[in-house]
Amino acid sequence: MLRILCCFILLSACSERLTPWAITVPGEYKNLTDRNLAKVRALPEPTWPIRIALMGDPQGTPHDLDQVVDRINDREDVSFVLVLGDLTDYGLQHEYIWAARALEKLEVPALTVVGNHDAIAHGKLIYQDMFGPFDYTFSYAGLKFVMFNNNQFEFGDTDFSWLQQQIDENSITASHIPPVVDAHREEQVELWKGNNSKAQILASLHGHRGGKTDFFSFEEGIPYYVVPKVEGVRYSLMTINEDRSIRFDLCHHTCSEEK
Amino acid sequence: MRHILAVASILWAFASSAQADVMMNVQHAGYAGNAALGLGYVGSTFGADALYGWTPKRLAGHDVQSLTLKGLWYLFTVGHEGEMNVRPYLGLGAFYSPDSDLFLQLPDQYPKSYYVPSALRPALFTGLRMQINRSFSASVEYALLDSELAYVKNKGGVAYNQVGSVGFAVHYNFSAE
Repeated sequence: MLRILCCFILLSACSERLTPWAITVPGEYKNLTDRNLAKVRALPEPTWPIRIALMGDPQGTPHDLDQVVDRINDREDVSFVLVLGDLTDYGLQHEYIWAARALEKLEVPALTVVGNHDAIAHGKLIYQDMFGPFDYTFSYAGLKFVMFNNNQFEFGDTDFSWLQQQIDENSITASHIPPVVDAHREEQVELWKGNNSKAQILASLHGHRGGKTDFFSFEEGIPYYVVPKVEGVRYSLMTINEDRSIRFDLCHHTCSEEK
Repeated sequence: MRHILAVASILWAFASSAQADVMMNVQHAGYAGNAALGLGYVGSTFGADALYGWTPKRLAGHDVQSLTLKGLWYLFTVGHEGEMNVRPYLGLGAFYSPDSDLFLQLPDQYPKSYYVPSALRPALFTGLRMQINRSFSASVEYALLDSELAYVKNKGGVAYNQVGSVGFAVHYNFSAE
């Protein structure tokens, strides 16, 4: 009996979680956006073409996320990774920590946008503490990456005026929900796409659809790319050439360009 | 802490006057809270626990109050009933938190069935209950949330100690005099 009790005490020391609704973030996983932006600024001078790995919706598949991280680490040509939302299924602390631990293993910086599932329960507070602001921008190789929150069921109407102020012909935008009419109203989608067309942004990147394959459309010269859900070793690769042309490839064990 | 004392007083009054095998339970963690108090029933095969738990802001980042309900199935008994014995069990239950940021019923802005209730976390339990004497027993328990079943379905990537929560409980049987 004493032996059994000792085993449980040891186990408890490792896995004593008090409540499902805790919002505390361990110090090593705080301010991850700032810390990864510092890593982007410290990257060596870029050489064309630039390759950026894209993944989305890793919630509920912690092992697959780990495998995708390993697969990206195997490449030597990826500058950084964009995670297009839904790191968690229920916005719970333990899910956030699973995701942060996996992304921490990446050998290149990882930047995230918040997904609708990340905002459930107390997820908004955990996201802000763990990553940082929901909307932010950064530059790399003369490109401006505009990362924004458009989960309007959870946050209220998307601030398209902020987005409009940020974008120009060197911009690549990233948000969780693609410009389709489900979470957004028709007039919002028209406004959003109209602003993108006026600014002639380079690409619009999204997650949320959760499918097994990527979804690509080309509207008024702008590629709209939706990553599939992280599953197995699946991720996407965005290749940007010096002339600003962009190619997307879906990668499993190999990428589509290598098939 | 005032909540815990108030609940303890009510439970004490109720359990001490009960005629059946009603236990007063005190539990730490196993997702039920830093400190949880409640009532339980233990039969020869089945049992049930209801707990009110509290975790202070200092430990959870905000003040968390929760209710826990568990149905338990005692698999077998090692030792003799009524004496010192050990009983392993499996259980099914849920945690509920009455928090304004959480919901049981999906708010109006969402399409039908968009999310499951965020205020309710179903869970699986397993544990060992040790009868110490006629009045006192103690349990060690492992609780696994529905959200953690992802780890079971998609095993790997997460260390075993990042999944589930272990809890300890002491049970006092008022009717064992």
